[in-house]
Amino acid sequence: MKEEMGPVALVEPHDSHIRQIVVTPGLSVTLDFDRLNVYHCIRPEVHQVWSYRATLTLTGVARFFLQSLLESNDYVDDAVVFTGLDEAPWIELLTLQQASRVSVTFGNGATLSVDCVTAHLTLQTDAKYLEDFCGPL
Amino acid sequence: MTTEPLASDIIGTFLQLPWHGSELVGFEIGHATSAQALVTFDIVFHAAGSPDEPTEVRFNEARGIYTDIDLLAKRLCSDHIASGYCQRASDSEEAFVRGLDERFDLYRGETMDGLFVFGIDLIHPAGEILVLARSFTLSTGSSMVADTA
Repeated sequence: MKEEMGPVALVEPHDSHIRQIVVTPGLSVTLDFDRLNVYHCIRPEVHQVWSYRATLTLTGVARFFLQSLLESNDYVDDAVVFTGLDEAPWIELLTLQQASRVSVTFGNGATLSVDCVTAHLTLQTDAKYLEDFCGPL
Repeated sequence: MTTEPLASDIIGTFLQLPWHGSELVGFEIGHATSAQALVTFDIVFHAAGSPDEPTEVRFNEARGIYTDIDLLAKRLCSDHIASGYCQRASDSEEAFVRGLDERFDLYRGETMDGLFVFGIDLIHPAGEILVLARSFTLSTGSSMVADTA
């Protein structure tokens, strides 16, 4: 049974879908996600998994590299945000963060790499409840 | 009744556009329908009589994209385009196009027939964009300028 949403404990880009990439005038790029799984903590080691639409806004973009076969059903295999040599957990992107690169690999082998200065993830409000997850994240 | 556009019409219409010195303002990669990918460029064409408002170049039934651009260099070069080109995908020597079936899995039985490579080179060192698609459409505001679909 669903309870009140607790605080976000984890943002998991694996298996999400990028439905739109927009390179805007200037130096910004936005990635619009579907099916981005977010774990909300209910109690210790008990989480609700919600599926969100979300927008990742990257500013100060220099290099933008994408090679892809375009398929509507493709999914994100892995997505990493680097801050220098370190990786930033996606949950930290819910507040504006300094970032140096976002690197995404897709299930079909497509790759996206964006060199940037900041990254900010905004969750949309129309989330869909998926399931409860019990255990450590 | 619908008819397939002639390849020479698609290539000729694209090549006739005044690419050199025009501006690539921005672009989008998304999905027109659940089954169809869509790539659009916003271009300000600079030619005698051209309006300064952006023209949307919409690539229909887009099947692939390769882009390696430097947005900072693009801005420093005033978003200017060096050239645009178009050819049948089956004739392309571009490594991305030639390697599509090796790097990615095309649908079973799918070939490059009917697909075109639409390319834009930005002023060096800003980079390039290639789109693999079946046709393209131009529109300004609410009016259609050209449709090769």
